Amino acid sequence: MKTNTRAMHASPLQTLALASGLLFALGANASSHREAPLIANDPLADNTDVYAFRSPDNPNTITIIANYVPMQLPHGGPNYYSFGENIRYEVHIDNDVSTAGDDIIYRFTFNKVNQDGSTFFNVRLGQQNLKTTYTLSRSIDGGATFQTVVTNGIVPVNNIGPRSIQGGAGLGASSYASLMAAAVTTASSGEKVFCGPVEDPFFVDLAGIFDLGDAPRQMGTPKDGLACLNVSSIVIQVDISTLQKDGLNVSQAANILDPAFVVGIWASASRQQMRTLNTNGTVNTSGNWVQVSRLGMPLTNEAVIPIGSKDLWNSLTPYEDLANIGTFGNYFYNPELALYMDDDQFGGAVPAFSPLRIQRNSLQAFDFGNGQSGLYPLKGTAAVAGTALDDAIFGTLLLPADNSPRSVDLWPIFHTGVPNLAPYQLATGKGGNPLANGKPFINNFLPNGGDMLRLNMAVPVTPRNSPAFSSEGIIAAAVAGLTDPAYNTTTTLQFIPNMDGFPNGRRLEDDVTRIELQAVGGVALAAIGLWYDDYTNGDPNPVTQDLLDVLTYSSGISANDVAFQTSFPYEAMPFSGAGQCGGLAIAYTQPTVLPPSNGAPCTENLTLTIQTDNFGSETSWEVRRVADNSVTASGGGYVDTPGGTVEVENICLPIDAYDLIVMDAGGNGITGGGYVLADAMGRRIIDANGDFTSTSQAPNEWYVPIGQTFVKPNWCDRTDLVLANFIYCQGVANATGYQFWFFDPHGSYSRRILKPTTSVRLNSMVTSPLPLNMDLNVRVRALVGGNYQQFGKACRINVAGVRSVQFDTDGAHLSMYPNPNRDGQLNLTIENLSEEATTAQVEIFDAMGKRMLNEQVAMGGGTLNTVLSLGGDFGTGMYLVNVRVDGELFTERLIRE
Amino acid sequence: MKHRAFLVSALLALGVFSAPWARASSHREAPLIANDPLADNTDLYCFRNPDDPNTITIIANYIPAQLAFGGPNYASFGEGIRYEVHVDNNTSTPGDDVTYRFTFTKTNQDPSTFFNIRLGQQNLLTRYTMEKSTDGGATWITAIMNGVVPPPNIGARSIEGGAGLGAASYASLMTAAITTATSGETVYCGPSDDAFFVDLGGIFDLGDSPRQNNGGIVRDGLARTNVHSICIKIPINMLQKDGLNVSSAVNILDPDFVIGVWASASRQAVNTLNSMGGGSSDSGAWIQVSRLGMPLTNEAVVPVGSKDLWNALTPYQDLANIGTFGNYFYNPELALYMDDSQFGGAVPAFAGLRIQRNSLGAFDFGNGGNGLYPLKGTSAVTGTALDDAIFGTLLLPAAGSPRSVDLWPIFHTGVPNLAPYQLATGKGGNPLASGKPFINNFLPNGGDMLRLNMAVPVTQRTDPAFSSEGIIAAAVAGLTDPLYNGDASLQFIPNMDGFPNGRRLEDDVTRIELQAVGGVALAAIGLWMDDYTTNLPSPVTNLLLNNLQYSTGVESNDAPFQTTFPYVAAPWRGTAI
Repeated sequence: MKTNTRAMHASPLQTLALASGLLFALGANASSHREAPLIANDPLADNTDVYAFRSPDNPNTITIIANYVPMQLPHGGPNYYSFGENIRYEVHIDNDVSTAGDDIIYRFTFNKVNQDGSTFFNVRLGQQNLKTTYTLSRSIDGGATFQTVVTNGIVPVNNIGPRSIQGGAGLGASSYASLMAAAVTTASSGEKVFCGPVEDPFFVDLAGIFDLGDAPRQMGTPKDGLACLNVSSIVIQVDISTLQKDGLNVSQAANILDPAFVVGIWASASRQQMRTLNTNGTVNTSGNWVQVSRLGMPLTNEAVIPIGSKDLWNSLTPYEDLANIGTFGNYFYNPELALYMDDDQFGGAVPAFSPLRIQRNSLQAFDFGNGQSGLYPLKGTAAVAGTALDDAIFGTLLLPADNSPRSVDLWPIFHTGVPNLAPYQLATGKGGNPLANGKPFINNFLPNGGDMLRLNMAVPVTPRNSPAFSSEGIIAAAVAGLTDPAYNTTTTLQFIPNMDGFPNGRRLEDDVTRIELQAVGGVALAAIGLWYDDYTNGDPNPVTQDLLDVLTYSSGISANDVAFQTSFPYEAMPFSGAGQCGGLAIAYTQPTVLPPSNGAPCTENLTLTIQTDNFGSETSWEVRRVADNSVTASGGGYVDTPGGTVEVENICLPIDAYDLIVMDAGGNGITGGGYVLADAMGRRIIDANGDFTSTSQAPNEWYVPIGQTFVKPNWCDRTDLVLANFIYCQGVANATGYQFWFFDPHGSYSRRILKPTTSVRLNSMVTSPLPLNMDLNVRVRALVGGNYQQFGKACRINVAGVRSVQFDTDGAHLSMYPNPNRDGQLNLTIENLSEEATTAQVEIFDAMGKRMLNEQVAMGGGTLNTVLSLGGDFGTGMYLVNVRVDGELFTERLIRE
Repeated sequence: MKHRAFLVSALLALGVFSAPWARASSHREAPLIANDPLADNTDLYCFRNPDDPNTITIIANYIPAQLAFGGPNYASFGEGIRYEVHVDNNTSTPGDDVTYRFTFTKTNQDPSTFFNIRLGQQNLLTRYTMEKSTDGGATWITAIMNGVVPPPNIGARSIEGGAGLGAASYASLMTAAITTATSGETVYCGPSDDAFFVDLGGIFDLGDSPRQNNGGIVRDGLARTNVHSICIKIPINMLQKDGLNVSSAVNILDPDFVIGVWASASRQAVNTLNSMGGGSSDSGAWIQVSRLGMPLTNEAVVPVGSKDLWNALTPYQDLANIGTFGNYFYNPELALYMDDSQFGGAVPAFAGLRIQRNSLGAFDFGNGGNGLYPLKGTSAVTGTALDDAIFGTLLLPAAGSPRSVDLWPIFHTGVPNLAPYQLATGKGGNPLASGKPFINNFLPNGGDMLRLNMAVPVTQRTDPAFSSEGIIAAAVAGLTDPLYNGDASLQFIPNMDGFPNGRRLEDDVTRIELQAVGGVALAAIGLWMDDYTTNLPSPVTNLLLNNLQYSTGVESNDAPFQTTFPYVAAPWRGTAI
């Protein structure tokens, strides 16, 4: 695993580093989900991550993101996660060392209402419960006064699932993305703001790293512990001139590391001191506001501050950090993590960190192991005169005491920012002396407080689609500044890609876990020329194996599980609760929902008469209700006797539609026999011979009681009919048509045709013409008031002879009116067409043969009935109208006047 | 799948069946408690032990949806919270008869590390005290001190590794944490796999369970998550009101062996945050912030506007608040989605569930219908549970409250072994006649509790007849199986020890409760579905089959349960999922 991981992540850096010489670095340590005991029990106020970066698509602005409420399961209903009421969520900005405390504060407070308190669903019928809105107020005087700049801001609903978001019984939104977009608002003070659920942009192998530092996992596959989870996000896009202490635009920066453009950012959540529970399920809060969560640098309180101090840390502001340096300083000067990167300490106990080994003997002079002196022996010497380590410059900030080796790297990265001053410049140009001036690469020095995310806003943006873009942040910039000929020939200040990356601010993509572990492993010291122990002072190439091991180290999880958006609010849409992140998949097929049973009394007394053959025991039957395919009657297994027997079965059924299935276990039908199903009046429903194999079933269901009309006796039960013959049915009062149904009672053929009169010619069926020499059943139903009645009694016919090839459509002709036509509205009607046809093609040609119209017209029920609009280009004259149905062509002349 | 096939074939073979239902489990179920996970009571189980049938196990789970890799401060029981398990066993005494109270303390053995476990030391090491009251909370005895809560199952390096605890296995830590109280109970408090299973994402997306148009996939939203369990194994004679052993029961439905169980979490009224991260101080009276008896009551019966209030009440206050809560049972919201004249068309997943609007051509159980109320005071109900002379107006309180005869008693009073609450077997077509007994957990001494008749024998989990359908399976057998349906005599039918007669870990309570809202309990006692008429050969009509075949598709837990105490499965390991 380790080998793969390194190969995968290291290549750009590794190649560069090998090519020439060096790098450098930084470190820090954060993000913070459930990071301290108390706040882990108060998820609503738990600040998980802070990001700050120059907006790639709008570089005159900075985007600040503060995330809260960790580890939200997308399917965590019925009360999905959101911001809490009675909590002050704040984003703090410091931009001026000469003013104490915050220079700008954004304070968000949230309010929830139930639009429909009568349901347990979160969203129903356009109403939403726990519907959340917010107020944003801003202070530019350190919190003395606040101005309300957004009221009634919208927090989008949780992404519950398609029924709740897009469905008609839900909100009926066009998409979740549309709700997110609609929630973006502009404050009266000019900031663009979004508050709402998003996919958690952080990525880390929580399980591995907190199992005693097993990242990358030594056995097993790394897993992003925050994949498939959402957080609640506050996103603010602010003009640089609003954040810059003197209101300057970025174009006015003296250079890309102009110290006047450094901002320090941190976020917090506060609650009122006193919470009182009432006996009726309500809660009151009162008293002073007490900070319960804060976040500046990622992972500070998660993996730097030990458990005994985490709660205290959360309660302080960065401006109180220096006053508490006695408590917290040593966690940075001698970090716990460094114990696991030092073979003299517990290095052997954490094999995953074996590529990370801090300098114990850098340049054969300096020991940065916990408890050692680091650069402290240089304090007050000429070597540090004029550098950041000179007490005359920053006092004892960076060399506070002996045995605090990391006061020169981890401490400033987390607590002061890094000045553009020796020794904090790349080794490029230093001539082997780490304390000399080198190539500038960072300046986010703002020693006006403690733990903050510090960003120099003057540093240009690295486009996210640039090949040089790297989740290694400034480590990537440092490697380029030391090794890339475009940058490493002078100490001139140049923009090197990823100088806008962590820890100079923090971009969503930055792999802060990796960067911080590398920093604890001493990579920042190396970048400024304090090389690893395996480098011998004076050797030409400081990129030793120890350094390569650090550069190629990765926790195994180096990118988010989904892509970010390219525009505000940049974070990805929250996962849907009904989607693939909503739990363990289980295959399940729902049983078909059956229609109600027919519990009506049986009123229809039918008889099934079967003439069996020699093997009556092979014959059986069942009647099935069409609605649910349930067997309502069955019988069979008759006596075996030569010549067979006549069996009469009485069947009583409720009114309904049914199928009769007659089966022969021998698979050879009923030789010489057959069956007849008839009603109580002896009217046949099915009249079948025995010519089938295993199963005989009419092609469509039948309904009892049967209808009134029927083929008249003169044409019924005839075997001498030919295709040219007509057959006639009994008329029914008020009928507007009659549908004749010809079918094989064994199921091989079925054809229905609607006629305006009581007759049909047997060659009328062009599509699916009648089969010849086959015993068919004919039933007829009347069309009355637009509705079909039931089919009436059946009779049997058998059409003999050769079928006529002529397309005599027997009354199916094209009728048009008005013709001659004046007003341009032309009615077209053809009746007695194929029942199967669903469309007709209508074309109109002028006298010159030019096609003036070509339309496909819907039809059904054997009838075409449509109205065409003839446009202004239909001048006076003669036209030819062609209509094609089922391959059959109808032609008429049209006169336009 | 197996259970459904069994039920349906049994029904098709003959004809009838029965049943019960109820409604609950409760993860993040109310707005306030969703913000206080440590005090959030997720599930309550109560069953007679298959391997030790003279005892009952009660399991109360807290802290929902724990991700096993949720470090560095893995979830555990909270300090400053009273976790309580309450038992009522006597209608003649008000309030609890036995109460167990658990309180937890945490210490850091090595505050110099951010790891939870390092070099044999554990931070947030959790220990508990169990107190017991047998006088309704007036006095307490301490029955366990310094009880061990096992550490979170972080991973092999932390649990078994030399730089960690060096334990033989996580199972060994779990076993070692089981202790015996001075009062005789066997107790386990610690993390466990969440025994509940439900398609949260589907069901809360407007009732889409089983998910429609989802490629034949449903999802267990609680799979691979952990909870914290309080498990207590108690001899039956300690729970029975007169100290009787189960061998002294008159019969397997002896009403003297009914207990009502509920669990709660309480915090002190006033919490004051200290400055400088000094935690917070609690003072004042203890206020109940979470409770659970029947699964899903507060999740899917009580609407959002009343959920927080519901959590603050004891079951003994439910009747006094019947004006607020009664109607949620008499006319449940869920029934709106099982009725085509209401919003049935809006929830296609429930198409198989259609409540009786015209049972036996006479009774309308649709919301706002009168149900059996027209029979009130008539000779038809004389001598039955619906006779005002017997239980007062408990079961027929008013017109327009149709489910006061089924959902209400299932959740709030238990079900007596008295007509009409007997299977249709032997009723001769009259649902109000006496029939075959199948349940008796009537204990009308409070509201929402999980009620168990301890005299009912155990169905072994390995028995082919064992079913996650609980009493629905017993009812089906009582109506269709020739072993049981020959007469109305009292017999043990497998799964009579299942939900809602108590609740076993395996019981698919989501399915059972949805079926119950769909009217299956009414059908079981002979108030058949609308499509039944005497013209049909069997009362197992299509609408009843639809109900019996209904399932959310998530029918069992994602991890097998243990066959011995504490029965719940070991918690998922952070590095193993």
